Amino acid sequence: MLYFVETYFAIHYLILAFLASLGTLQLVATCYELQGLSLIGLPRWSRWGYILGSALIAGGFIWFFLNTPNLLSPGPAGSELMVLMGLGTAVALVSTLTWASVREKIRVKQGNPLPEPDVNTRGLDLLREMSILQAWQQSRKLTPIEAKAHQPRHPEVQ
Amino acid sequence: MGSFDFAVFRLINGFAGRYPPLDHLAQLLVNDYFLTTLMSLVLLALWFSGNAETQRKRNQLAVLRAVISLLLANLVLKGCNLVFFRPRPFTYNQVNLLFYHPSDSSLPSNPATVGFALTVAVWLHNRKAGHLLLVLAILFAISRVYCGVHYPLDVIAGAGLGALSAYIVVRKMRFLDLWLEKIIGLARRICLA
Repeated sequence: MLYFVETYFAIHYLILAFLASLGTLQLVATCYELQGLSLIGLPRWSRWGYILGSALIAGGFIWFFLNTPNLLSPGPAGSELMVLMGLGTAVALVSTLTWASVREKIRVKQGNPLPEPDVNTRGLDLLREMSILQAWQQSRKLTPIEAKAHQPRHPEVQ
Repeated sequence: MGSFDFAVFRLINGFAGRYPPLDHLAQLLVNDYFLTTLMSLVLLALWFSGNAETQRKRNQLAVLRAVISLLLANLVLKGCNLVFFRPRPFTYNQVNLLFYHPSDSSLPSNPATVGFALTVAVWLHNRKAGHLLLVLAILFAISRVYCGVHYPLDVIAGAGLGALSAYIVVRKMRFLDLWLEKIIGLARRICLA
Protein backbone atom coordinates (compact mmCIF):
# COMPACT_ATOMS: atom_id res chain seq x y z
CA MET A 1 0.00 0.00 0.00
CA LEU A 2 2.83 2.41 0.81
CA TYR A 3 4.63 2.93 -2.52
CA PHE A 4 6.31 6.30 -2.21
CA VAL A 5 7.28 6.34 1.42
CA GLU A 6 10.53 4.97 2.82
CA THR A 7 10.47 2.77 5.93
CA TYR A 8 12.31 5.23 8.17
CA PHE A 9 9.96 8.00 7.13
CA ALA A 10 6.86 5.89 7.75
CA ILE A 11 8.12 5.04 11.24
CA HIS A 12 8.98 8.68 12.01
CA TYR A 13 5.60 9.93 10.82
CA LEU A 14 3.80 7.16 12.72
CA ILE A 15 5.57 8.25 15.91
CA LEU A 16 4.56 11.87 15.26
CA ALA A 17 0.93 10.84 14.60
CA PHE A 18 0.92 8.67 17.73
CA LEU A 19 2.38 11.30 20.07
CA ALA A 20 0.33 14.19 18.68
CA SER A 21 -2.90 12.16 18.78
CA LEU A 22 -2.12 11.04 22.33
CA GLY A 23 -1.63 14.69 23.29
CA THR A 24 -4.83 15.79 21.56
CA LEU A 25 -6.79 13.09 23.37
CA GLN A 26 -5.38 14.32 26.69
CA LEU A 27 -6.44 17.90 25.94
CA VAL A 28 -9.96 16.77 25.02
CA ALA A 29 -10.20 14.40 28.00
CA THR A 30 -9.17 17.19 30.37
CA CYS A 31 -11.43 19.79 28.76
CA TYR A 32 -14.55 17.57 28.83
CA GLU A 33 -13.61 15.60 31.97
CA LEU A 34 -13.51 12.22 30.26
CA GLN A 35 -11.97 9.95 32.88
CA GLY A 36 -11.87 6.99 30.48
CA LEU A 37 -9.75 8.92 27.98
CA SER A 38 -7.33 10.39 30.48
CA LEU A 39 -3.84 9.00 31.02
CA ILE A 40 -3.38 10.55 34.45
CA GLY A 41 -6.89 10.47 35.89
CA LEU A 42 -9.24 13.33 36.65
CA PRO A 43 -10.21 15.66 38.18
CA ARG A 44 -7.37 15.90 40.71
CA TRP A 45 -4.74 16.28 38.04
CA SER A 46 -6.73 18.33 35.54
CA ARG A 47 -4.08 21.03 35.13
CA TRP A 48 -1.52 18.33 34.40
CA GLY A 49 -3.78 16.98 31.64
CA TYR A 50 -3.37 20.21 29.69
CA ILE A 51 0.36 20.30 30.35
CA LEU A 52 0.82 16.65 29.36
CA GLY A 53 -1.32 17.05 26.23
CA SER A 54 0.51 20.16 25.04
CA ALA A 55 3.90 18.61 25.81
CA LEU A 56 3.07 15.45 23.84
CA ILE A 57 1.94 17.44 20.79
CA ALA A 58 4.88 19.85 20.88
CA GLY A 59 7.33 17.02 21.65
CA GLY A 60 6.03 14.95 18.74
CA PHE A 61 6.45 17.78 16.24
CA ILE A 62 9.87 18.86 17.57
CA TRP A 63 11.14 15.28 17.51
CA PHE A 64 9.84 14.70 13.97
CA PHE A 65 11.22 17.92 12.49
CA LEU A 66 14.62 17.55 14.17
CA ASN A 67 15.11 13.89 13.32
CA THR A 68 13.60 13.45 9.86
CA PRO A 69 15.87 14.45 6.97
CA ASN A 70 14.69 15.65 3.52
CA LEU A 71 11.41 17.15 4.66
CA LEU A 72 11.52 19.61 1.79
CA SER A 73 11.91 16.95 -0.89
CA PRO A 74 9.19 14.84 -2.56
CA GLY A 75 7.62 12.59 0.05
CA PRO A 76 4.69 10.25 0.44
CA ALA A 77 1.40 10.68 -1.41
CA GLY A 78 -1.49 12.31 0.43
CA SER A 79 -3.32 8.99 0.70
CA GLU A 80 -0.26 7.40 2.30
CA LEU A 81 -0.07 10.20 4.85
CA MET A 82 -3.75 9.66 5.62
CA VAL A 83 -3.16 5.94 6.22
CA LEU A 84 -0.19 6.65 8.50
CA MET A 85 -2.07 9.35 10.40
CA GLY A 86 -5.09 7.06 10.84
CA LEU A 87 -2.88 4.23 12.07
CA GLY A 88 -1.06 6.48 14.56
CA THR A 89 -4.35 7.86 15.85
CA ALA A 90 -5.87 4.40 16.22
CA VAL A 91 -2.85 3.16 18.19
CA ALA A 92 -2.96 6.28 20.40
CA LEU A 93 -6.67 5.80 21.08
CA VAL A 94 -6.33 2.10 21.93
CA SER A 95 -3.30 2.81 24.16
CA THR A 96 -5.14 5.57 26.02
CA LEU A 97 -8.28 3.48 26.55
CA THR A 98 -6.21 0.49 27.71
CA TRP A 99 -4.09 2.57 30.09
CA ALA A 100 -7.18 4.24 31.59
CA SER A 101 -8.89 0.86 31.99
CA VAL A 102 -5.91 -0.59 33.87
CA ARG A 103 -5.70 2.51 36.08
CA GLU A 104 -9.41 2.42 36.91
CA LYS A 105 -9.29 -1.34 37.61
CA ILE A 106 -6.49 -0.78 40.09
CA ARG A 107 -8.48 2.06 41.66
CA VAL A 108 -11.52 -0.21 42.13
CA LYS A 109 -9.29 -2.96 43.57
CA GLN A 110 -7.98 -0.46 46.09
CA GLY A 111 -11.51 -0.13 47.44
CA ASN A 112 -12.89 2.82 45.47
CA PRO A 113 -16.40 1.84 44.37
CA LEU A 114 -17.40 2.05 40.73
CA PRO A 115 -19.96 4.87 40.29
CA GLU A 116 -23.45 3.88 39.18
CA PRO A 117 -24.18 5.86 36.02
CA ASP A 118 -27.57 7.37 35.38
CA VAL A 119 -29.73 5.04 33.30
CA ASN A 120 -29.86 7.62 30.49
CA THR A 121 -26.10 8.02 30.38
CA ARG A 122 -24.69 6.36 27.29
CA GLY A 123 -21.95 6.53 24.72
CA LEU A 124 -18.99 8.77 25.40
CA ASP A 125 -20.72 10.25 28.47
CA LEU A 126 -20.08 6.96 30.30
CA LEU A 127 -16.34 7.67 30.04
CA ARG A 128 -16.78 10.69 32.32
CA GLU A 129 -17.09 8.33 35.28
CA MET A 130 -15.41 5.10 34.27
CA SER A 131 -13.06 3.43 31.82
CA ILE A 132 -14.25 1.95 28.54
CA LEU A 133 -13.79 -1.57 29.90
CA GLN A 134 -15.98 -0.80 32.91
CA ALA A 135 -18.55 0.84 30.61
CA TRP A 136 -18.70 -2.26 28.42
CA GLN A 137 -18.99 -4.52 31.49
CA GLN A 138 -21.73 -2.29 32.86
CA SER A 139 -23.73 -2.41 29.64
CA ARG A 140 -23.38 -6.21 29.48
CA LYS A 141 -24.87 -6.50 32.98
CA LEU A 142 -28.01 -4.57 31.98
CA THR A 143 -31.28 -6.41 31.57
CA PRO A 144 -32.99 -6.09 28.15
CA ILE A 145 -35.47 -3.53 29.62
CA GLU A 146 -32.65 -1.43 31.04
CA ALA A 147 -30.72 -1.77 27.82
CA LYS A 148 -33.76 -0.47 25.97
CA ALA A 149 -33.71 2.57 28.23
CA HIS A 150 -30.21 3.26 26.94
CA GLN A 151 -31.49 3.54 23.39
CA PRO A 152 -32.43 7.00 22.09
CA ARG A 153 -36.12 7.69 22.60
CA HIS A 154 -36.50 10.13 19.78
CA PRO A 155 -34.50 10.14 16.58
CA GLU A 156 -32.36 13.25 16.63
CA VAL A 157 -33.13 15.63 13.86
CA GLN A 158 -30.23 17.69 12.64
CA MET B 1 -5.76 38.24 -15.37
CA GLY B 2 -2.55 36.28 -15.94
CA SER B 3 -0.35 39.35 -15.61
CA PHE B 4 -2.17 40.47 -12.45
CA ASP B 5 -1.76 36.95 -11.06
CA PHE B 6 1.96 37.06 -11.85
CA ALA B 7 2.31 40.56 -10.32
CA VAL B 8 0.75 39.39 -7.03
CA PHE B 9 2.94 36.29 -7.14
CA ARG B 10 6.04 38.46 -7.59
CA LEU B 11 4.95 40.67 -4.69
CA ILE B 12 4.54 37.76 -2.24
CA ASN B 13 7.42 35.63 -3.52
CA GLY B 14 9.66 38.69 -3.53
CA PHE B 15 9.91 38.52 0.26
CA ALA B 16 11.43 35.02 0.09
CA GLY B 17 15.15 34.91 0.70
CA ARG B 18 15.23 38.32 2.38
CA TYR B 19 14.43 37.42 5.98
CA PRO B 20 15.82 34.01 7.06
CA PRO B 21 13.43 33.59 10.06
CA LEU B 22 10.45 34.22 7.78
CA ASP B 23 11.85 31.71 5.27
CA HIS B 24 12.21 29.07 7.99
CA LEU B 25 8.65 29.71 9.14
CA ALA B 26 7.37 29.45 5.56
CA GLN B 27 9.31 26.19 5.05
CA LEU B 28 7.72 24.80 8.20
CA LEU B 29 4.26 25.77 6.97
CA VAL B 30 4.74 24.75 3.34
CA ASN B 31 5.89 21.16 3.87
CA ASP B 32 3.39 18.33 3.56
CA TYR B 33 3.46 17.32 7.22
CA PHE B 34 3.02 20.22 9.65
CA LEU B 35 -0.30 21.83 8.78
CA THR B 36 -1.90 18.65 7.44
CA THR B 37 -1.15 16.89 10.73
CA LEU B 38 -2.46 19.85 12.73
CA MET B 39 -5.69 19.81 10.70
CA SER B 40 -6.09 16.09 11.36
CA LEU B 41 -5.63 16.74 15.08
CA VAL B 42 -8.36 19.39 15.00
CA LEU B 43 -10.70 16.79 13.47
CA LEU B 44 -9.71 14.24 16.12
CA ALA B 45 -10.38 16.75 18.91
CA LEU B 46 -13.67 17.73 17.32
CA TRP B 47 -14.91 14.13 17.33
CA PHE B 48 -14.71 13.96 21.14
CA SER B 49 -15.73 17.59 21.79
CA GLY B 50 -19.05 18.74 23.17
CA ASN B 51 -20.76 18.69 26.53
CA ALA B 52 -24.15 17.52 25.35
CA GLU B 53 -24.87 14.56 23.09
CA THR B 54 -26.53 16.72 20.40
CA GLN B 55 -23.56 19.07 20.32
CA ARG B 56 -21.19 16.12 20.05
CA LYS B 57 -23.25 14.54 17.30
CA ARG B 58 -23.08 17.75 15.28
CA ASN B 59 -19.30 17.77 15.66
CA GLN B 60 -19.05 14.12 14.68
CA LEU B 61 -21.16 14.74 11.58
CA ALA B 62 -18.78 17.60 10.78
CA VAL B 63 -15.78 15.26 10.98
CA LEU B 64 -17.37 12.59 8.80
CA ARG B 65 -18.57 15.13 6.24
CA ALA B 66 -15.13 16.78 6.21
CA VAL B 67 -13.54 13.44 5.31
CA ILE B 68 -16.11 12.86 2.52
CA SER B 69 -15.55 16.44 1.26
CA LEU B 70 -11.84 15.72 1.15
CA LEU B 71 -12.42 12.59 -0.94
CA LEU B 72 -14.79 14.40 -3.32
CA ALA B 73 -12.43 17.37 -3.69
CA ASN B 74 -9.52 15.05 -4.45
CA LEU B 75 -11.60 13.23 -7.06
CA VAL B 76 -12.49 16.50 -8.82
CA LEU B 77 -8.88 17.63 -8.49
CA LYS B 78 -7.62 14.50 -10.26
CA GLY B 79 -10.17 15.10 -13.01
CA CYS B 80 -9.00 18.71 -13.42
CA ASN B 81 -5.38 17.57 -13.62
CA LEU B 82 -6.28 15.13 -16.42
CA VAL B 83 -7.80 17.79 -18.67
CA PHE B 84 -5.83 20.88 -17.71
CA PHE B 85 -2.18 21.62 -17.03
CA ARG B 86 -0.66 24.88 -15.87
CA PRO B 87 3.11 24.99 -15.46
CA ARG B 88 4.54 25.91 -12.07
CA PRO B 89 5.83 29.47 -11.55
CA PHE B 90 9.45 28.27 -11.56
CA THR B 91 9.10 26.47 -14.92
CA TYR B 92 9.56 29.54 -17.12
CA ASN B 93 10.45 32.25 -14.58
CA GLN B 94 13.19 33.08 -12.15
CA VAL B 95 11.57 32.73 -8.71
CA ASN B 96 12.75 32.48 -5.11
CA LEU B 97 12.13 28.78 -4.65
CA LEU B 98 12.13 27.50 -1.06
CA PHE B 99 10.61 24.10 -1.79
CA TYR B 100 11.20 21.13 -4.09
CA HIS B 101 9.99 21.07 -7.73
CA PRO B 102 6.50 19.55 -7.81
CA SER B 103 5.77 18.15 -11.27
CA ASP B 104 1.96 18.15 -11.32
CA SER B 105 -0.29 20.95 -12.54
CA SER B 106 -0.03 24.22 -10.66
CA LEU B 107 -3.76 24.95 -10.96
CA PRO B 108 -5.70 24.16 -8.83
CA SER B 109 -3.50 24.00 -5.75
CA ASN B 110 -3.79 20.62 -3.97
CA PRO B 111 -3.04 21.92 -0.44
CA ALA B 112 -5.55 24.78 -0.82
CA THR B 113 -8.19 22.32 -2.06
CA VAL B 114 -7.58 19.96 0.87
CA GLY B 115 -7.38 22.76 3.45
CA PHE B 116 -10.55 24.54 2.35
CA ALA B 117 -12.56 21.34 1.86
CA LEU B 118 -11.92 20.47 5.52
CA THR B 119 -12.40 24.05 6.69
CA VAL B 120 -15.74 24.71 5.02
CA ALA B 121 -17.17 21.30 5.95
CA VAL B 122 -16.34 21.94 9.61
CA TRP B 123 -17.26 25.65 9.52
CA LEU B 124 -20.80 24.80 8.38
CA HIS B 125 -21.26 22.84 11.63
CA ASN B 126 -18.98 24.48 14.17
CA ARG B 127 -17.84 28.09 13.70
CA LYS B 128 -15.10 28.02 16.36
CA ALA B 129 -13.32 24.96 14.96
CA GLY B 130 -14.01 26.26 11.45
CA HIS B 131 -12.20 29.52 12.18
CA LEU B 132 -9.22 27.63 13.57
CA LEU B 133 -9.04 25.49 10.43
CA LEU B 134 -9.49 28.59 8.27
CA VAL B 135 -6.36 30.16 9.78
CA LEU B 136 -4.40 26.96 9.07
CA ALA B 137 -5.75 26.71 5.51
CA ILE B 138 -4.90 30.36 4.73
CA LEU B 139 -1.37 29.90 6.13
CA PHE B 140 -0.98 26.77 4.00
CA ALA B 141 -2.15 28.63 0.87
CA ILE B 142 -0.02 31.76 1.39
CA SER B 143 3.11 29.74 2.20
CA ARG B 144 2.79 27.94 -1.16
CA VAL B 145 2.92 31.27 -3.00
CA TYR B 146 5.66 32.65 -0.74
CA CYS B 147 7.82 29.58 -1.39
CA GLY B 148 7.36 29.86 -5.17
CA VAL B 149 5.38 26.70 -5.98
CA HIS B 150 1.96 28.23 -6.77
CA TYR B 151 0.47 31.35 -8.33
CA PRO B 152 -2.14 33.18 -6.23
CA LEU B 153 -4.83 32.14 -8.73
CA ASP B 154 -3.93 28.47 -8.14
CA VAL B 155 -4.64 28.70 -4.42
CA ILE B 156 -7.82 30.74 -5.01
CA ALA B 157 -9.06 28.09 -7.46
CA GLY B 158 -8.08 25.33 -5.03
CA ALA B 159 -9.86 27.10 -2.18
CA GLY B 160 -12.97 27.50 -4.33
CA LEU B 161 -12.91 23.87 -5.39
CA GLY B 162 -12.46 22.66 -1.81
CA ALA B 163 -15.18 24.96 -0.48
CA LEU B 164 -17.61 23.94 -3.22
CA SER B 165 -16.97 20.22 -2.57
CA ALA B 166 -17.64 20.75 1.14
CA TYR B 167 -20.79 22.75 0.47
CA ILE B 168 -22.14 20.01 -1.82
CA VAL B 169 -21.38 17.28 0.71
CA VAL B 170 -22.86 19.16 3.67
CA ARG B 171 -25.88 20.81 2.07
CA LYS B 172 -26.77 18.71 -0.96
CA MET B 173 -25.78 15.11 -0.21
CA ARG B 174 -28.39 14.52 2.48
CA PHE B 175 -28.81 10.91 1.36
CA LEU B 176 -25.54 10.21 3.18
CA ASP B 177 -27.00 11.23 6.54
CA LEU B 178 -28.55 7.83 7.22
CA TRP B 179 -25.17 6.15 6.82
CA LEU B 180 -23.33 8.79 8.79
CA GLU B 181 -25.79 8.46 11.65
CA LYS B 182 -25.34 4.69 11.54
CA ILE B 183 -21.57 5.14 11.87
CA ILE B 184 -22.03 7.51 14.83
CA GLY B 185 -24.59 5.15 16.39
CA LEU B 186 -22.14 2.26 16.09
CA ALA B 187 -19.38 4.33 17.67
CA ARG B 188 -21.77 5.36 20.45
CA ARG B 189 -22.54 1.72 21.21
CA ILE B 190 -18.87 1.12 21.93
CA CYS B 191 -18.68 4.39 23.94
CA LEU B 192 -16.57 6.22 21.35
CA ALA B 193 -19.15 8.79 20.27
